[in-house]
Amino acid sequence: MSFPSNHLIILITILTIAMGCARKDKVSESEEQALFERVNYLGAEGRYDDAVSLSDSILDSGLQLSDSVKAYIMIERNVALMNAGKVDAAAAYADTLAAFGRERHIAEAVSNAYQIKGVALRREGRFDEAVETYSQGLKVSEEAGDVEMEQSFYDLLAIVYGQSKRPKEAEKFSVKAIELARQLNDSNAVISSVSTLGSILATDGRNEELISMLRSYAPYAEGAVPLLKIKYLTPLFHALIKTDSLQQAAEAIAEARAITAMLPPEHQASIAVEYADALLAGRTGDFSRQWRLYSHIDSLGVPGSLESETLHDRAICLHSLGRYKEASDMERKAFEALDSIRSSESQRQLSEFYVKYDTLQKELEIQKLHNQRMLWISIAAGLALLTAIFIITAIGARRRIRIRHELERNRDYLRGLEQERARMGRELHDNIAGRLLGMQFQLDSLSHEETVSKLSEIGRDVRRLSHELMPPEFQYASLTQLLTDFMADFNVTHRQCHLILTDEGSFDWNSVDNSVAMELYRMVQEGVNNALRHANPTEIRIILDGSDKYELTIENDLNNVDTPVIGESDLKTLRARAKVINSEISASSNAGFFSLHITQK
Amino acid sequence: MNTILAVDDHPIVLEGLKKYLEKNGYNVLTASTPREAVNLAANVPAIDTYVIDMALQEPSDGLELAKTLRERDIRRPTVIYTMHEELWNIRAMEMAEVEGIVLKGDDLAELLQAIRMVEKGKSYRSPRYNSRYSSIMKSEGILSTLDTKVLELISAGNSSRDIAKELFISEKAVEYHRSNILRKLNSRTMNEAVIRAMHLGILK
Repeated sequence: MSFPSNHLIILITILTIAMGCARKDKVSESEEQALFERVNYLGAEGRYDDAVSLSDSILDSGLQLSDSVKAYIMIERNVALMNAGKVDAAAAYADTLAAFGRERHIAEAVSNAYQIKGVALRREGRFDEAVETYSQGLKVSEEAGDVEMEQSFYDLLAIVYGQSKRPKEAEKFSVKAIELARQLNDSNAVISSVSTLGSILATDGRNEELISMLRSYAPYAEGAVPLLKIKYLTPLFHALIKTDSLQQAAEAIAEARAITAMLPPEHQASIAVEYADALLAGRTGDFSRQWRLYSHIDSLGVPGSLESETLHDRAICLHSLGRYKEASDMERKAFEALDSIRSSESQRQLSEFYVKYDTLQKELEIQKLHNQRMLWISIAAGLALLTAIFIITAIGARRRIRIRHELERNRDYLRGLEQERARMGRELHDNIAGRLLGMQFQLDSLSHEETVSKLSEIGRDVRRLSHELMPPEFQYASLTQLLTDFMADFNVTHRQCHLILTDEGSFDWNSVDNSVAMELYRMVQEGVNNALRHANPTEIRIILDGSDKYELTIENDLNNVDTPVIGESDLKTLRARAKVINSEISASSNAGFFSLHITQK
Repeated sequence: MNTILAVDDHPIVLEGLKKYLEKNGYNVLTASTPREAVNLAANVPAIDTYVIDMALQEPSDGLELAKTLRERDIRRPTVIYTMHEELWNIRAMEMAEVEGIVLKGDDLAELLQAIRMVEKGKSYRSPRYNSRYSSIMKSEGILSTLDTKVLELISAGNSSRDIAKELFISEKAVEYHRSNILRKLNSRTMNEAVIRAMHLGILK
């Protein structure tokens, strides 16, 4: 019996995780991360069904996951459903996700649920409910202070207002979405929102304004992903055609074609460009090319709604090519596709068609306006749906990238902690345990005074080690007091090396947050221990400096040491710590001195 | 014979402490948890003094236990005896209303001295504790390189004029650094500042 390899991988993943977790009541942080990363990987690889299956297995397994990881896995599941085109299933699951997010106060989960729900409602034409859903999402994002999410809700609201033919509101929300996207300096978000505004202006016939607005955002379009660039170019080339800027329209279409060349030909964006090109060919009088383009579109199996609305253009094209019989047949199809009132009107016109082909042009022009409008609406609706899916995917991707970076930082951080633990373990084993064992052997020969003295020494070293392990409690002592204490303690226990602490600047070190103070204190401990390990220095200086922002330098002489003055992994750990407190760290060695320099960004 | 209630969650320490205090003429009761200690204190009125380890197991530490005993009106002179010499613990002990504080790194005789003093109604801080508390907790800042150089020259017996010449600065600037040193080391005299700087390892 053959067994699908994907399912085998999932089975192995779950078994591995289950075996790992079966030993404990609660899943460890690293195990949780492994679970999330696996789901995330499957989603990122486009294996949406696998991502959903694995999420279900994890969520139903009874493992005690932390709320945030559980929420992330649920979000990944929902995004995978959406990406797999299972919009209804995603919308249904959105309720579960929203309930969980609300109960556990995880705004990201609630916002994601609202986004997916909104897309499903729009697909059913329930625009008012979609507006309500997105507005709730916007409120959640604002309360959580999540500007990225807030921006995407403004964009989604602009799209849904545009779809429900409320251009004023659409414009208002679109402008706000652009403003936030610029604040975030996110090219994709800017272009997505600008394109939405472009579509709104186009529907309103404000073509000149549209062209000038879109042109002003061209630098952002350079940095946007291909699909969004198409979204940006679509209203632009249509507006250029309408304003008779045919050369510029041709250039914009060529630019769009370069992008759609990378997409499947039946992709909605590719077809939108084909239609625009056909329109341009008609305007430039190249009807043969126009007809080839239409034939090409038809061969791709264009959705029915689009077909009916462009039949009229095809009729004009055929008429211009002198294929009158086919033109009238095509026009009949076009009229049949219209509503009954217009259809009855068309019957009258049709009778005239057979006798007077040369009057066709005038009537066709009237109808063309209507059809073009319908084509516009269809393209806008299709692109809007694509955009909504893109926004959700892009937010997911952004979050995935952010989480990956965070995980990498955490890994570096944890690696550093492990190294510190290993150092202390070695010291306990080699120093303390060794000395105790030595004493055990000598107990009979040592005098009482010698025993007390040796025990006191060992006790002092044990206290120093436990002191290094203790997390400082800043409610009882300030950072400068702790550093002073560190210096005093160091100078008592290290006779061969003098530690000097100085403050050369005006920065108020006791004003930093406790979490920042903790990391700075740990970096000093690690920097000093690193100097002792690698350089055998006679003097170490901790130099505090800075005015508005802090600067901290740990400097030591190299005492003729030519081995590396800091290990790559030690530096990585220090970098991870620096990153956590929004600082930078650099290492340099010069003229017999080595220094670590930490600066606040 | 005075009675002491000794509280420590390490059996070996508790046993050693009991033997040491008994050897020095005390009747010693022992408890290894805060609950046990409160029970004994409430039921044995003959207890004269408490000797409590600062780091007891949850739910409450030694300082919490001292507070509970006070609040239950079974207050006795109390000595906190700890190996936790971290600065933040020193500050926490200072803020607690206890009569005696001795660090476990101190000589054992310090503990005896502390018990005798608190029995007489006096408070007692071991010298090592005092040195750390006054040198560090009362310091007001960190010296700059120039402050430190001025202090080094002062400790070597140089006058302000000599220092000014040595460091290529004005005498006024030397005075400025002197006042910085006094303020940052929370000292009234330069002698006191030099002693504090030696405790802190600023001066070798």
